[in-house]
Amino acid sequence: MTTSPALPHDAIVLQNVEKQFGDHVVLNNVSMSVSSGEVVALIGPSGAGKSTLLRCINLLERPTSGSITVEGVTIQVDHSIKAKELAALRSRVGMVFQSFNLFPHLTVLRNISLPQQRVLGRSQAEAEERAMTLLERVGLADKAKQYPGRCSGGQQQRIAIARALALDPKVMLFDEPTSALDPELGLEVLAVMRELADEGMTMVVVTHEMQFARDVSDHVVVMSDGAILEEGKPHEIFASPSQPRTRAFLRAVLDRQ
Amino acid sequence: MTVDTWQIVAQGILGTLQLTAVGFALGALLGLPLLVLRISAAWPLRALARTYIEVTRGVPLIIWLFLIYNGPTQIDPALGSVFTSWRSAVLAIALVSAAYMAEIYRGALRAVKQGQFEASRALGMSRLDTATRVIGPQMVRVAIPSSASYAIGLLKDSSLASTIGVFEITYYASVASSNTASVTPFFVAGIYYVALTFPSAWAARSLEGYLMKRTA
Amino acid sequence: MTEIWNDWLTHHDQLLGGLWVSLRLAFMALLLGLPAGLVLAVGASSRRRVLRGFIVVVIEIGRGTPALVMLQVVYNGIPVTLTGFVCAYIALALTTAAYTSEIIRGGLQSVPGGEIEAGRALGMSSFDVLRDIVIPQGLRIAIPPLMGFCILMFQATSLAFIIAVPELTSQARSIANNTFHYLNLFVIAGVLYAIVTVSASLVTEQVEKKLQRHV
Repeated sequence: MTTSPALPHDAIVLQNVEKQFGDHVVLNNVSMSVSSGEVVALIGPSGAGKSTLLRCINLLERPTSGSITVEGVTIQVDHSIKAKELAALRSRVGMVFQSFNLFPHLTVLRNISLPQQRVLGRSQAEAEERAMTLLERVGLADKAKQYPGRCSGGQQQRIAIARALALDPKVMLFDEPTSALDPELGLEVLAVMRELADEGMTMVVVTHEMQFARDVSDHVVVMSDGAILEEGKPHEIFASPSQPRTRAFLRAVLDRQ
Repeated sequence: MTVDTWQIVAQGILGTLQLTAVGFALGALLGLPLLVLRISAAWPLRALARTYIEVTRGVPLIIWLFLIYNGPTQIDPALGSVFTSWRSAVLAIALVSAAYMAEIYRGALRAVKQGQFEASRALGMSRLDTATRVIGPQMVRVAIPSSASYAIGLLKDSSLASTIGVFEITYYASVASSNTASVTPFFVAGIYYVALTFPSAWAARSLEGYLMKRTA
Repeated sequence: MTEIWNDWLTHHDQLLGGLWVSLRLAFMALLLGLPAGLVLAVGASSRRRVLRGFIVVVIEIGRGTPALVMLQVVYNGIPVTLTGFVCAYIALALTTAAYTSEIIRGGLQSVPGGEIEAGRALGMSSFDVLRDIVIPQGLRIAIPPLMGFCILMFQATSLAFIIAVPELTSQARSIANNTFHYLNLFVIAGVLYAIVTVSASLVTEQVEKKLQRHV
């Protein structure tokens, strides 16, 4: 799973993304880009719009206006979106949720193989082989025949990561992947994510784990009130934030940890 | 479809509402002692209540109607004047409703969290106070939506009383249909039933929504 | 008691024949009504407002009309001459579809939104999400209430006597009208119904317990 060391290019480009619920502005004219192989941490106080922004990238949330480009597929949200374009975009983007969202009525193996069959048209044998490879990678090959309900939260999240990776995404989105987990179970998920980052996967991670943001990410984006407050290299942001609000937020979070 | 048909069948609306209301009210009342038996500590009482509930709900209402209306005349034809159409129908509906309502109450009781009983006991409240002040009010909230939908179902089931000659919507529809040899009166009856149940179903749904919001 | 037993001995062939008709009728009504209920349930959860509104009205009419009236409307209203059995089959299937659609819709709705979202994020089409995620789980949740409804539908077949279908109630009535043994025959009919329904609800209870264990 090493990505080719070709020239870095823009994997994700968001231009003037806005999102409103009635009068309430959730995202206020957000633009950002992520280069291929880059790991971006999205941090900020709750209610800042981090998860909404993340969910706009694969259009689980439809922005009110703006455009989204992922690996060459561009969607202008003011135009009506064709199902084909949407499928093309989502097939390039894997997503991991806070609450895992595994399918409880399917075995771990089926959770990973079924989407491959439906979305990529792989045969069952092919899909299961790929599923087993990924399960081995996340250290859960022995759980293949079990149902998700029998696995711990940390295991379920690792399975969810394997499920997303099975579709060979170019980009992975993580929406607070460890928030629903006890700290020690969160660590095993973070270890898998770190490994993925080292292999050169393009990742956008909404997180409250400042340690992870500082150590693993290449770029930190701080959000507040639906807009990007500031962004930069992790050591810059954590050592000398330019915005007073970033400073206040970091102090509050780091005190707690 | 003449105005006449609408008027003829409409004569039964009051009968349908009366039968449903009286039968349901009696059933809701009788359901309470039945609940007490059903959750009693003495197993014979519990078994008795359980048997009553299962058998009453397991036999179609139409059989209860025929049994109560026609049955006694086998013993003494004079009993026919005691078990009139109306009385038989009310009795049958009340007996069956009691069984259903007792189960609805029991479901509501189970929905009240165990912690509420423990908290009341820890606070030293009497059993009566616990039942009437703590558990009862919480049960009512849970029981109202299912009771409402049961009552709406009963409104339609009361149509069976037409077969023993109670003057309600379906009765007038049958009479009008056989007089005119047309199906129209039954369409009219159907419309009346839908018109009666539609707003009640809607009201029950919004009541449920309201109660969910208050308890959530 | 002995009198009831004597009536049973004399008429059991006819009564058991009636019970067999009742069971067949219930089976047929469910065979057609349950799939139709699933279709209505999916329609009622549609995101298209017009379609959803139309389906909801159809369901409410189906649920609002008493089965007795439905039987009469189908029996007298269809211009083609059909046997009473076929009419009862159609009428009860319509009622089944309307009622079970609400039960199934409840099941479909209880599938967590996060799973649907996960399916979409994986790029699965709405149809795939419905077929692979929502329907299998929703139906499983709906199984116990659906079984309860099947028992009620078996009881509702007793209304088919009104359009001269020779089921159990109809047989009991016709024997009673000849012999005036009303009490005996309706007690026997009641017992026969209760044997079927009470044992069916015991099975339902077991299934419910089993399903709860697995979730």
